[in-house]
Amino acid sequence: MFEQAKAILWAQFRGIFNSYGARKGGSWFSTILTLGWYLICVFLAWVIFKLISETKDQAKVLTLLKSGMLLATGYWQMVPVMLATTGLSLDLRKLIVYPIPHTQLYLLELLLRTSTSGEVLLITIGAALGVLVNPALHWWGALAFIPFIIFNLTLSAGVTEIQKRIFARKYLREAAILLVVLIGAVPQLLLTTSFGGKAKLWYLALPSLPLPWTATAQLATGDTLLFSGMAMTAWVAIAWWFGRSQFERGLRFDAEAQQTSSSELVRSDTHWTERFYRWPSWLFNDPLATLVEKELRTLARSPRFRLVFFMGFSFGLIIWLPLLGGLGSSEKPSGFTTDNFLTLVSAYALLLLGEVCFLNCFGFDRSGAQAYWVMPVTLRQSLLSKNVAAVCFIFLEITLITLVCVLVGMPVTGPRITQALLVCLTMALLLMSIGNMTSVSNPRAVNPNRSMRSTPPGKTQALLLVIYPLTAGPVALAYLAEYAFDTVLAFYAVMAFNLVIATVVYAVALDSAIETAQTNREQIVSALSQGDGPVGA
Amino acid sequence: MESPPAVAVRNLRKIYGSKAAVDGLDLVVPCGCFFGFLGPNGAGKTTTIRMLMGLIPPSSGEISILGLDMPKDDVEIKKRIGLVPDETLLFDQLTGPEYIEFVGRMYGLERTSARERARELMALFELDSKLRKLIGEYSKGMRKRVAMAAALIHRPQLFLMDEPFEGVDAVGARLMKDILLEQVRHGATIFLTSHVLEVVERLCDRVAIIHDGRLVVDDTIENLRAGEETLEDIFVRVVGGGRSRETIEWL
Repeated sequence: MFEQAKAILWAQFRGIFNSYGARKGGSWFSTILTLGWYLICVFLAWVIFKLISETKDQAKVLTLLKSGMLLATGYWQMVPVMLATTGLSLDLRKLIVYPIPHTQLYLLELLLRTSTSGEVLLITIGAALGVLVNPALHWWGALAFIPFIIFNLTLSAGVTEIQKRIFARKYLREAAILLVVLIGAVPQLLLTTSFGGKAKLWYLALPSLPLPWTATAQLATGDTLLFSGMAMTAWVAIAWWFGRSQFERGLRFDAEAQQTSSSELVRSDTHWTERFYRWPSWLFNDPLATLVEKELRTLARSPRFRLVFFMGFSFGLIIWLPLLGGLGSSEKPSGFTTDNFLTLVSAYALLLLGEVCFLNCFGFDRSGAQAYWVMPVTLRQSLLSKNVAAVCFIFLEITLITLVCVLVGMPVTGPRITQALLVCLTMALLLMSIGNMTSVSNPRAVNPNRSMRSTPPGKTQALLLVIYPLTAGPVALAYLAEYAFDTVLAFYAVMAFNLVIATVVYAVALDSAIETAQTNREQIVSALSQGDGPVGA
Repeated sequence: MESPPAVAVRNLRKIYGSKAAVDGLDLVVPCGCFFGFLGPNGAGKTTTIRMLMGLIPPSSGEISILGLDMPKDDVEIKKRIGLVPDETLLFDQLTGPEYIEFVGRMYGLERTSARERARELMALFELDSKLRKLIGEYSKGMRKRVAMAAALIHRPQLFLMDEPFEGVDAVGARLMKDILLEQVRHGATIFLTSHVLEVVERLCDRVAIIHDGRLVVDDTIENLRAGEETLEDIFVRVVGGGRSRETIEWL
């Protein structure tokens, strides 16, 4: 019965195995990184196991499990969305032509859903084993976690399908991202505003409701067995129906129709977006002007870029809020992080933009990148155009961050904006220097229409761990100078020096990248022409 | 009892936004027929074949394949058809034999049987020198060959082929044509879209031309040849290619 499912998994693993030859170092690094992360999760699962197995008070275990299972559900459903990854899922576009019963596809999809929840699965297993060996509890209490896992897997399958369909609709996608950002911001806002107290009171009222995490905790501890059992059965049935119906809708979904119908908007030459795209002609001569214009249009129309760009001035801003400390209280917040909040958020946005703007700058062009070698333009012009477009979006991002800061009443002044711009310009020059090198030495095809990352972290992502501290180093020196000499002039002096050094580094790295691109053109074009397997990673 | 047509569509429509890509298509393809489905770029050929393959749902209308209703009997239908889809449905990270074996297993073949047939098909399509090469590294013509080899693995009754000869060299095209004609002789039906009118004229026994989503010609090649016009003349006449061309001064 599951021969086809086995064949799909075989093809996927065969594909991964085959692609290892092409990615070598990066794959090994990401494997080690993943192993390290899961080792931490195993340790956490062991801590939870010890905590539950050694707690003799049944009521205490119940409270622990209620909160724990609520967190687990939240993580299961929200974190994949927040981290902009859908994990592994069937590429139905490639499999729908084969005679595979939908039930089998759905079961396989559920199995693949575990890829976004490995961490939480380990922790849930830790909790289940804790219940199993706890002498104060019945051994069969551990079985309560099975319906809990099924509930979350099926719910997650449904949520992912809805997410995919929403993200296929051009403008709805941006609205959905904002909604996700707002949901993701809830814990931060609760922590930093007076709403936290009210939310706590509301949460305390929750245990009386037969919610999935409450029912699981009650089943595990043998509390109100019949009622909790009925509640959990109902929840699993609802989640199963929801997941299955959304999966069926996904099978019938015609993404092309959505894209075609939403791309029929024809803009006139006087539309403000047209004016924005055409600004390079004011500053540069062709072909550089037209290359920059092409980059601006390509990036602005790429859902993947737009997601990251939106995150820069929304999600990126919100996650730094707790650093402000006294926000929401009557006292005016102060301190290093408050004074430099704009710079911090802008630098973080730069980090987010890295993957889509400069670290793999031929990625969105995919096989089309070969045009740069056949058109009468130099590689210097091609790389420069991509960097100019990246700088343009970086400044646009900082402008939007500043506007949002002003709107929500953050402390923003002229000198702070200047500092943020200086820091970002220096870091951007250094990042683009490295980015130009990685773009030609480790290019990867990226589907611009997929809002989520489609490849596992590789060599470039591994390099980021070194790159970002390196590029932030000179900026840290400037702040150190300001602190040591107790004057902001010291900061500006060091930053001016940094800017000169960064410009020199950029020029040298650009020459080096051009040389590498000339030598490796065949490998670059080949790497950018790679497609996907039956399961989208 | 008369066998049902291989493909029968009635009032088939596919709407994208405000545009009808396929607009009220009625078509019957008898069993054992070599059917050519022609049309200019954007006429609705690929949309039609994608609806027949079950890749996209129609906005309205009925599709019956080998006497079975789509989408009600879609699994049964898919078991009986072989596809040469556009290149995006290939898996670039698999080698040719791995891909063909995968497709065989999708159609329910035993693993060992699928592997054996994959090896034989690679040899038949003269791809046996590329056994360890990934499909992503194949040329366009080789990709079409491997797609056709995969379509044959479960001996389907109906082949749905989207531009099967696109990018294929003369030797490869000849090989593919011979194999397809052999399949028709064994009772299979072939439904193909193509821009190469000469190929269609030589291979097909029935031709339909679609233009702006509507069927403008549907006849046997014998009847079409009865006049003085070639298939190319008919094609250009019905799709409006003969209209006066504006001149561009700088050109």
